[in-house]
Amino acid sequence: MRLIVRSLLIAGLLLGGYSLLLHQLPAALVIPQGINQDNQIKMQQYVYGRPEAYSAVIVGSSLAAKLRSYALPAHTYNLAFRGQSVFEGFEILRRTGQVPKLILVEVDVLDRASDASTAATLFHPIMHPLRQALPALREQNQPLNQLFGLGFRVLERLKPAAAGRIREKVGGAALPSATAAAAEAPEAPTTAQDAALALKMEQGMRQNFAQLPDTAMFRQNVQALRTYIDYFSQRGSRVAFFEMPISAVACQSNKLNYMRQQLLTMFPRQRFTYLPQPDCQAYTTTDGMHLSDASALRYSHELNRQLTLLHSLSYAQ
Amino acid sequence: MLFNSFEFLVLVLVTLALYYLPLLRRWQVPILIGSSLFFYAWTNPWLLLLFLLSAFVNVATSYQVVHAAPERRFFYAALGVVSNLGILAFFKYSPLIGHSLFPDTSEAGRFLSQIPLPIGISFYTFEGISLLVDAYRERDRHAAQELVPKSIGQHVRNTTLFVAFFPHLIAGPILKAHQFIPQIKPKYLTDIDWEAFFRAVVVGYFLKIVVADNLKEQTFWIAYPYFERQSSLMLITMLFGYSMQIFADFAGYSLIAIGVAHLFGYSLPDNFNFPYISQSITEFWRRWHISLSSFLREYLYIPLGGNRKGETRTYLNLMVVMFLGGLWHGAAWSYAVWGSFHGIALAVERLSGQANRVPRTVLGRVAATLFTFGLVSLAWLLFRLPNFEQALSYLYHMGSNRSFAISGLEYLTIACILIYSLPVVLYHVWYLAQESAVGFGLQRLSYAWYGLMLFLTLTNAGPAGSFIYFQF
Repeated sequence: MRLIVRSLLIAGLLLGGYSLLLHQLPAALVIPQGINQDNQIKMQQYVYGRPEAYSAVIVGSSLAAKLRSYALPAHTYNLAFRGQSVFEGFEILRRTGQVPKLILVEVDVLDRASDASTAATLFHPIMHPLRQALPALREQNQPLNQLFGLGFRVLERLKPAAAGRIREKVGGAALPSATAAAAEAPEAPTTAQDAALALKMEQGMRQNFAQLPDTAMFRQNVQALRTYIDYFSQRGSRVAFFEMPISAVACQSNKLNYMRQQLLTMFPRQRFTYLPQPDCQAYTTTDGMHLSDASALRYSHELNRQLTLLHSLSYAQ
Repeated sequence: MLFNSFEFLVLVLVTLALYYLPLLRRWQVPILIGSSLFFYAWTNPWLLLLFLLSAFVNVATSYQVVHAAPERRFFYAALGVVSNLGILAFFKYSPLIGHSLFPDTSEAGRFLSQIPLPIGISFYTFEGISLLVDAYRERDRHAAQELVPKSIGQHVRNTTLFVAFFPHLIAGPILKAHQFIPQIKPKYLTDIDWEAFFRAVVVGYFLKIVVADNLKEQTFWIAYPYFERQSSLMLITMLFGYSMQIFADFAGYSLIAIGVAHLFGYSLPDNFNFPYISQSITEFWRRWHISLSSFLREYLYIPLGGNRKGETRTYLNLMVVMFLGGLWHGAAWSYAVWGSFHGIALAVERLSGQANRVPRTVLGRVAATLFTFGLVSLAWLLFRLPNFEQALSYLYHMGSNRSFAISGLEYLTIACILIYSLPVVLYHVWYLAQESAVGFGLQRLSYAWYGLMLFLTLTNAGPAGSFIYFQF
């Protein structure tokens, strides 16, 4: 029994000491260790931060997850997650009781089913209240992330250019000059392996988009979407649909046309807002689906322009 | 229901509270059975029907093996074993048979491909076979009465608990009837070995949540076709990481199972004994998934003749056992290739006399350990990429993508893999050093290590995921 008591005591002391240390450490760039952690960090930053501060929220998949937050209008939060659908973002909004003024819904992969485990993990009956009370238990504060943050600060001093590239890669705020340069820069050349992989992925994606979605699943998804949209509309949110640019072929594919048509039937233009379709040919993707870093930044600026316009129009009305 | 889920915690606490209530002491076995069936039915209640059918077959045939007329006993034992193998073959291997023997467009092919794989089937059917074989071997002795009592009610309770006991139900350790059934008796709260429970559970959760779940994030990129763009260095590091991940995942699961079983007064056998310090494949199989390797040795290799029927037969037996052991893991030919690869390595070691030879120098022992680890890791690729062509393509790219120029974020992946693999490496080094003065000093501070592991389990958990061996 002595071993158990001593071990628990040590664990408690470490947790207390680490919590105090976190207070002292300056905020560092969060470099996620992987896709799931990236998603979790974004969710937790929203839920345990000040969600009421965001008047516009984006829900979507990995396509919209590539949008650069610093290039979007202020008070916009991106609840689009890699490997997930629009439903996870909606569910987080619902469970946190937030009713943003504007909810932007990405439509490109509306045929993807929701993943109930995402919200279950985030709102875990034990870990959620603990994370709320103890920031040390949040994903971004993992000891290893703090270690990487410290390493990044050293790198920023020694090799600012390399640190800037990493910052841009993980979607952190870039310096104003770098932002402008990146937006205008041509797409980065890829290696032979990158090019071969991109081609293979794009072929697979084209095949996928040439077919209609599984109609039963899609109908189920649209019903679920209707439920969420009704829920938030009744509470005063405005819902706007938007598309992320994908490869030009997929942009005009059977699947996307079918989904657009079904969406318009269910959510008519008279009652819902649709942002203009992007010119897919003007953007570059890495695999037919996901925008390259430079294109993601460019489209973020474009979306910013659209939202500002929407905002001024709503004031005009 | 995952061991790392909230539902599991609630189930254990509720079961524990009822189990040790003095008023309910005589109902301890039914309480455990009830909880175990609830645990199994959690994700798909329909699978419970198959599980109960399998349990019924084992109850009925094992009872007849011990209590029927002597001339009928072999028939019942054979009937039970064939039924277990039939259930396993139908539910686990139908898709493989469908793909291999029928065109994809045929009705039969489609039907066989759609048969679902019931979780834990490989484990509970093997345990059923163990009961039947043990009962048949001991049929004329007193031990048989202990395994299969005359009272049918008691036999139903014992057998159902043996196959259903929830800590080991889904992914082992595979129990043998003669190890478990004699332990079934009234249990008291004062008998719980709290320290054994604590040690097993803390290390188990640490290995699963901190090591395996975090490594899973990094080894994700082994997936086809993503690996094609990675450099050789990345591909080698990811394979190393997967080797560490699969150990941490499965050893973690086994330790949690052993720890939770302690809470209910049961002792499950060790499943791992620091396998990555092995200096030969022969030694590896004495240290890795011990409950499976000992099952295969006891119930397959020895009945086939083992090494008692000449050299040629010994090699054949080795190959057959490892081929079937590979197929036990999954319904894909790549698992059979994985098993055969190990079978060939065992045969080569036996032929060259290396099987039980320990190198004399430290350098020789280190080289043998690294060589064995390299072979084992290479073979794990077939677990991560069960498509044989993709596994070969991975090996090809490992040799051909010789660029060592990696970007900032790839450094991050490599750093993560090395950092999260470190506890597994230290775990094995600690085992090697425990006889030395340093090891003794580290052991005296064991509470500090357990405290640190608890702290990291709370603060540095990876994204929760199911256990790799659940798919088998």
